[in-house]
Amino acid sequence: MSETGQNALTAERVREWLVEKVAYRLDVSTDRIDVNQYFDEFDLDSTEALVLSGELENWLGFELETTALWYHPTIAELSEYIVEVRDGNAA
Amino acid sequence: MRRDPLRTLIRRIDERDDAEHPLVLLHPGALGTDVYHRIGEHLPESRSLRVVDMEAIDAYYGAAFGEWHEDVSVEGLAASVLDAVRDTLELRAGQWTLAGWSFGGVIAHSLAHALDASEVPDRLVLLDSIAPVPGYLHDPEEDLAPELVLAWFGFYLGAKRGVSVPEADYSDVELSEGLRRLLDLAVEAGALPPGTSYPGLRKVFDVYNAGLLRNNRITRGHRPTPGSVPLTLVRPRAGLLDTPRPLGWERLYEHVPVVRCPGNHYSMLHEREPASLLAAVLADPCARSSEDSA
Repeated sequence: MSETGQNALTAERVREWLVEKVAYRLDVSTDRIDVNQYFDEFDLDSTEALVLSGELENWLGFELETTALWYHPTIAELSEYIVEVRDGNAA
Repeated sequence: MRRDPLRTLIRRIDERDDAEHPLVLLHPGALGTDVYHRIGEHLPESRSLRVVDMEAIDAYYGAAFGEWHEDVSVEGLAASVLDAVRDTLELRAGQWTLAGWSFGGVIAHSLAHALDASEVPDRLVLLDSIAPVPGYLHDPEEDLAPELVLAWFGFYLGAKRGVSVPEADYSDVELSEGLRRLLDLAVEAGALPPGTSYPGLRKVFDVYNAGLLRNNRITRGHRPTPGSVPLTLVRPRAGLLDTPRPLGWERLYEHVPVVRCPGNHYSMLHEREPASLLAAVLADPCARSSEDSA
């Protein structure tokens, strides 16, 4: 069961969720997180990035391809992509 | 994660340009190539270490994530690696050593067959690598036994953070139950951040497992031929398989000298004691074998 209502899912909501999670992992305030920064430029190792990805899927209630963070490597891009996936419009 | 745009297939571990006897070690992924620095530090000046980062090959990397290419094969990967090695080094018969860790050993064995006579290394050193022979091959369509893969995954999580996750008995448990047990142990050991959730760990496991299944799939249908380059096999205390036999290589080589080292499948590469021993073995494989399995 998804922790977010599918109809209420917007790119902005996904962005907020990701910003909060990344800020928590890095122990910084949310205003320190640049949504256009590459994930691998945050001080997250690959294991932490995958943990984040798994927790995101759990929150969304659907799976993402493992390569999603590879092809959509910023919080802003990934958030837009996730909403496209939900709408069935992803390439 | 964005692919590292600077990721290269051949990674130099030291700056010894004029070393008289280079070592080439095939690394199939899971851990970063940084793990080899400690081995590099312990090598004598006459040796230089170059690590082949196989996941820099896009088709191999992508194959773990469902982007399967039918041309990803043992021979194809060996050919790609050999092209890159030839571009980097002048291979002179008997004046270099070829090595491979884990699945990298399977590719190294195949690569040795593709060399010209004037290029053959003095020795092939395999680090906890399982031979692709019947009895040791796993059907890639079937999941690995949870007790086996959970033990390996625990070693892997520890190695990623440079800590030791306590070994546990995962026999007779479902995968999800075993993962929950491992989650507690890994967080307590510092291998995972406090608060890591089961869905988060499950994603890490799925990607780890996908890499294993990719390698199993690549070896499916592969028919290795017997090797002629002298071989040394290094096995850690807690290796991939708990068998007295030398991991199937006895089917492909007349003699398989075995060197035992401390550590597990992953920590053998970077913990002080095994890394020091591995450096000595790579520098002089003949001097260190403690068993000889014909």
